[in-house]
Amino acid sequence: MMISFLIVSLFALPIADENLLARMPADGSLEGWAAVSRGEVFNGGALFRQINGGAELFLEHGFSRMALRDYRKGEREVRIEIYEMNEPAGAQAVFAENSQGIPPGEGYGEQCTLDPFQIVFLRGKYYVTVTCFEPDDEVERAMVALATEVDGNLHKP
Amino acid sequence: MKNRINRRAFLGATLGASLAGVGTLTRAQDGQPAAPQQETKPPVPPQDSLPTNLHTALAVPRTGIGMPGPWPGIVAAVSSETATKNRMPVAETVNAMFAAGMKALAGSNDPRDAWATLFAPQDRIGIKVNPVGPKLVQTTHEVVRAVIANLEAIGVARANIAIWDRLQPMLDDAGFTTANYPGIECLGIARQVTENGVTTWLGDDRMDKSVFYEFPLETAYEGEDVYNQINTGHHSYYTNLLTRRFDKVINLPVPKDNGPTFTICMKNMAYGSLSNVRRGHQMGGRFIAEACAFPPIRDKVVLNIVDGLRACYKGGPEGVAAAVWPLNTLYFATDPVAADAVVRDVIAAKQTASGVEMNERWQRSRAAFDTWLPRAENLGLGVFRNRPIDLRSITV
Repeated sequence: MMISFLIVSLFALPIADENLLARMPADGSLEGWAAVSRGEVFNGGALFRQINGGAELFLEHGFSRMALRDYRKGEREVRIEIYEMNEPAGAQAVFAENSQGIPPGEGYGEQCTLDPFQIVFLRGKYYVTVTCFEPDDEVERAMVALATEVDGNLHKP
Repeated sequence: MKNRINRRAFLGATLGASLAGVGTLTRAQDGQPAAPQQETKPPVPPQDSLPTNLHTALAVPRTGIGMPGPWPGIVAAVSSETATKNRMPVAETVNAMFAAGMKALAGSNDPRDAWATLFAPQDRIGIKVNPVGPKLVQTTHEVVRAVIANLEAIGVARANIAIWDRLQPMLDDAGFTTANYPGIECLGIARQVTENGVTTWLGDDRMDKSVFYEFPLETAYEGEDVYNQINTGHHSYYTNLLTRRFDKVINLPVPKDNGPTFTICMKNMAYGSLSNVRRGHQMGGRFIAEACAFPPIRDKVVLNIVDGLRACYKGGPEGVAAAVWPLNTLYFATDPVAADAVVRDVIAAKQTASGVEMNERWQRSRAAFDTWLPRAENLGLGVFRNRPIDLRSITV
């Protein structure tokens, strides 16, 4: 059966999507860095469009939505992805699976892994990645600051 | 040269009192590698008895110099310590690796001879990339540019070269755009078009309804995933980019863990060239092998260059950065089965060395997917175990 669809762009996101985007670092909160856009939210199966087959792991453990936002300073870029799961157990399962074979880090969330290119942490029902694509001192400072701000935002009710 | 701060001690202390509770990016001590995994007898996949239309593909005579190509069973693995710096590719070294790799693959003194054996100036060539895991573990631009340069060197015009993959948004995100590749189209099978505030997904127009892989399994695609998959039902159509647009394909996969299996040459083609593919997971390795046995892939993929400058042993296909390592190796082969066999073992060894453990469910899935190699060999697509693989390892 062939399926063809027409999507009408909405001028306002659903409240749950807006609430998740609101947990992102505010535009301008980090000097010199700007949010590229208001961000995007991927619900359910739309996650495949962003992370391809990697979405199956999240969907298997009760995935709700993912918010993505890029921050830029000149040529430097940091991407934040906040995966909201239905339950903390789902986020824990995803984190446990993806962190196998990776030494545990400290300093973010309830658990985290650290790499020059990426900070990954778990906070309640949220699985968060803060990723850069070409590390240098300034990018690293930005990653630390942005990850800390997101962690704080997720810690609030 | 700028002094870099030691990556093992990050800068939380330098951000000042205004950032209360700042974390620091430090790395804990590496753990000990786990003991080697126990061998598990693979269960017989229930889908072995599933009827498909594979026989229609096998009845089509082979054309051209498709799988396994003029050098069956040969894999040229070229490594260099300077291929990457801080996990970023170094173009000059990559170019040198290309020259060495193609000479070793063809057994010639001039890499242009190898390229000229495989490609003619009038060929329309599609470069199949893997854009998943953008900028972290995607097909690198240095490798793609080296391919283009070598094609141009034997007279192939840029207008006859295109870069392609399943999803246009992923190509864009990974930097495969006309802006970055002037004169070269970057084609996604499924893509979005927005006019007057209305966004439409297109993809059906890039499928060839006359060429399909048919089997009686379905998956309920959730939400927007249906646009990625293009259609439901029992048919997986081949893209008309393969059936009508390209004469030949250069396949540029990245070595990646992909849950129960690995994404290397054959999976990069099988899951990137057809519609309605997610149901193929239910068939394990059989889908990967059989999808590649149909003429659009079998006869047109003439060169595989596994972009192992960076590889991923966990969290693929997007990859978890901490599980991405600088493998610093390119693998050149006309035989995708041999290349997959070699690279599969590299990723699996890294998983073992890193302490990745597979639970019983993953082990069963792994066993089901691992059949892709012997199946592909039995279908005449390349060499796995029926004869030794000729692995030519070079260091530049």
